[in-house]
Parts: sequence; C-alpha cells; structure tokens
Amino acid sequence: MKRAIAYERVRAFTIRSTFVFPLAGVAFTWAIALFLILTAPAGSDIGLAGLVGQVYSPISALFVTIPFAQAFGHDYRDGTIRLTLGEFPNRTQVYLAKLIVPAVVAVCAVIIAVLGVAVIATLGPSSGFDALPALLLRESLFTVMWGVMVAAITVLTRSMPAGVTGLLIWWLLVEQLIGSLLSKFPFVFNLLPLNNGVLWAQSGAVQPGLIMLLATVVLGVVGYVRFTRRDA
Amino acid sequence: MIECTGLGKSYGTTRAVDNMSFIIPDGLVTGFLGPNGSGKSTSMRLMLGLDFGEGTTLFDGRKLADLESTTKIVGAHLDAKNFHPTRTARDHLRMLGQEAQVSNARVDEVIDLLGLASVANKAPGGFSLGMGQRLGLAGAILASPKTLLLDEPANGLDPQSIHWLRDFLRDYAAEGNSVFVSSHLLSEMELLADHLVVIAKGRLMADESMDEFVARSKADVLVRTVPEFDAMLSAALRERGAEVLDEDGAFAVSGVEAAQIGMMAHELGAPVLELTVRQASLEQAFLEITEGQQGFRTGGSK
Repeated sequence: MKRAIAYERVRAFTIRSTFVFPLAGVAFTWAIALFLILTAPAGSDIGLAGLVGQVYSPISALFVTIPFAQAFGHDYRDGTIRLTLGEFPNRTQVYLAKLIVPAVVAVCAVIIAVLGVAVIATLGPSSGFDALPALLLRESLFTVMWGVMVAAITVLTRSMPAGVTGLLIWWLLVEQLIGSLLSKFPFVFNLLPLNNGVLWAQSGAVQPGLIMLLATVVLGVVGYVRFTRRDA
Repeated sequence: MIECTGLGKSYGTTRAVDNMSFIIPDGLVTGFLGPNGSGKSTSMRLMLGLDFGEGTTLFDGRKLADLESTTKIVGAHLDAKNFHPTRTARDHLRMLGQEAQVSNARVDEVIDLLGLASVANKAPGGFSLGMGQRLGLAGAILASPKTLLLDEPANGLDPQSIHWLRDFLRDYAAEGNSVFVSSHLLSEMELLADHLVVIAKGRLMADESMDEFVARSKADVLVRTVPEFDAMLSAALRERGAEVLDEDGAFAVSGVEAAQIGMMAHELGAPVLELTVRQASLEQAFLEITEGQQGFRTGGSK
C-alpha cells in the first residue's frame, strides 16, 4: 500500500495542475471573503462560521477537488492506467491511493483557505473565532467527501470534465429544482445529499452530515466496484 | 519463464482470444506474430491482468498478483503514447520506479541507456513516435525485470534504433531473461526471435522455434520460359518427380534443384527467361499459416 501511495504521490506532484487548481480555489475563497468583509455594513457582526459558510462554497470545493478527478481521469485519458495497474495488480490499493493523495492535497488547501478567511475576518467586524477548529474539521471532511464523489463519477464516466462538473451541476440544478418543485414534501430534502452536505458544513448539524456521508459511501463503493472490475 | 494457460476473451459475440496456451522460455527472445486484429494486444493485456478474461498466466510459477514486486519480474511496454503530456520524461520514470523503489541514479542510467538524456527534462507531449517508444522501453526495463513484454516496440524507430533494440533484446534474453515481443515487421522478427508464438483470429497457430516454423514453408524454384515450351517442360519436370504449380505465367517447382531444371530446359531447347530460387522464409511461412485468417482480402486492389 505504501508503494501505491508513493507512486500516486509522484504521479500527482509532478503535474503543476495538482497545485494550481486547489490554489485557485483558495484564492477564490479569499477574494469572496475579502469582498464580504470590506462591504459589510458598519456595526454589523459577521460571525466566522457564517463567513466561512458563505465563502467556502461548493464552488471552492470544485477547484480544490480537481486532483481527485485527475487521479483517475489523467490515467484513463493518457492510457497510463495500464502502467499503473501493470505495476499494482491489487486494484483496491490503487483506488485507495488515488483517494488518499488528493485528500491530503485537498485538506491542506482547505486549511489554508479557512485560516486565510479567519485572518481576513479580523479586518472587519467579526467574531466567533473559537469555532475555527470545528470549521476546519467540517470543511475538510466536506471537501474530502465531495472529492470522493468527484472521483467516483470520473471512474464511472472515464471523463475528467464529467467528474469535475457533474457534482456541481447536480447540486446547482438538480437538487435546487427538486427542492423547489417538491417543497410541499419536506422529506424530499433528506434525499438531496449535497444540499444536506452544505448545510452540515455550515451548521454542524449531524443528520445532514450523515446524509452526505451516506451518498459518499454509496457513490464511492459503486466507483470502486467499477474500477476493480473493468478492463484497463 | 511465462506460462499461459487457456487465455480467452470475448467482446460481445466476438471471440477475440480463444483458449490459448503457450510457454515463453527463459534465455530466448520469443516473437509474437499475428495479422492485424488477431488478438495479440488483447492477449498481452490478459497476461498482465489488465483485461478480465479466462485463463491464467504464471510468471516463474506465480501469478502477477502474488508477486512481492511486479516490476522486478515483469516489465511491459504496450503503447508508445502512454504518458502524461506535460510530466517530464524523468518524472515519468521516477513515478514508474516507485513500485520497485528504484533509485534516481538508476533512472538516470536508463535515460542514458535509451538515449533520452537530451529530452529527459522535457514534456513528452511533443515526442515523436520513436522517442515515445524509447520512453516506454525505458519504463519497462527500469527495475531490471526478469521478463519483458513488448508490444510493437520497433514501430517508429529509425534503422539505427531498430538495430540497437535488436542487440539490446538479444543480450537481455542471453542473460537468462525472457523477452516476449510482438511485431508485424517480419524481417525484423526473423533477425530477432529464437522462438515464435503465432496466432490468427484469436487462436494459437504455432508455438515453436524459429527454425521449425520457417521449415513449414517450402523452398522452390520459379521458372519462366516462353509459352510454347511450358507444357513440355512442366511434363518433363513432373516425370522427374517434381511438384509443379502454375504461378502467374510461370511455374513454381519444388523437389528438383535449380541446376537440374536448367539442364532439362537446355536438353529440351526451351529458352529460360527466369530461374529464381526462393528460400523458405518467415514471411512465406507466416503467410501460409495465416492464409485466409486476416480480416481483409489479398491479391490486388479490386
């Protein structure tokens, strides 16, 4: 397993875009945070949790989790999946390594992004800095779960663009549409994993977090099964 | 030694590889021949566990998944374009070296060996086919594996590189390793391989030494004379026990030496316009054994 992770680490770290996209996500987060702080009405108090919840949106997660899509998408696109699986016949190890390395990159990016937002928050009327550790944990987990789903979609479609954009489209279009059309049936909200995930990341409420976790596990397992049983 | 037993693979109703069993011995270069679409690449992918199908492949008696380090046992090069276009050649090899924990010094050694030093720090996206082949081959030999599996490694190489590749693979095999090479360059294969595995339409046609395989094709003599003497000369040859076959205005004669044919023609007063000795060759044997097995029509453009 250590060798599979080492292989994946070198694979990921020798491509500039592994760092460029997450840093773009960080920059985007900071830019929005700066904008909100500088345009906040005088006398208002923007709590750190609220600020992070507003600025570290799934748009930031989209950039930060691109390495998850690249981990599988580049291999399929360039044919290097044959080299990878030729060296590591145990596909479970490869699948896990391809989740672990981008997860480390993503968590680092989230920590930088959220700490940066906390620093930016000190420029304006803000409070609630004691929530920082919990925010770091929740946003990191949210991003990793988002990334696992991105990876699974990439495996299922063998397409990096589909992996990167599929989840965002699902969240922005499908879930919003379902939510508004079926607003008379509150239980439907429980079936919308990304809306619940965003809610959990912002509020820390347990049940929405579990709904996103369940969706992550289901999609992750489907991706795993496909990855381990498909011709390279 | 590689031992393949019952390799099989279907795509829908098409049987791409059908129950193939063969052995790739140590110390020899084994050529893998077959017409286009005969299942060579699929077989190699099955051997490496990249595709799912039937059968087993044992490398020195063990399955690939049971090996402690796969790259020390098998080095494979299946496609000249299997690399990320912007990852440098050196980084590509560093990545491939992780499984066997290959040192950076070894990476540099292989880069020098394959003549990649001038492009080692360049992105391979703009590499020619030949340079891509070198990079692929570098990846295959990086961990000095016991076995090499190479799919069309000579494609796109210049004559000097092909010569180098031939010497390299023969030396590699001579050190006790097994080398399994597919190619459609029969003249090159004739110079390179000691042993042959020949397939057509997914089925094993031959698994024997190069000499045994070439001996399948008959040596003969092509005789062309003026038409008035055709019947007379061919009758005389048949009387001597020769086998005579019409061949596009001439006839192919086997069972009689060229000198004897010349003497007989002289005795009959037949002017000989052509007398060509045709040696048995790999190409001839290959064409004979795969006749009708390719997916296209031979014998002209119409």
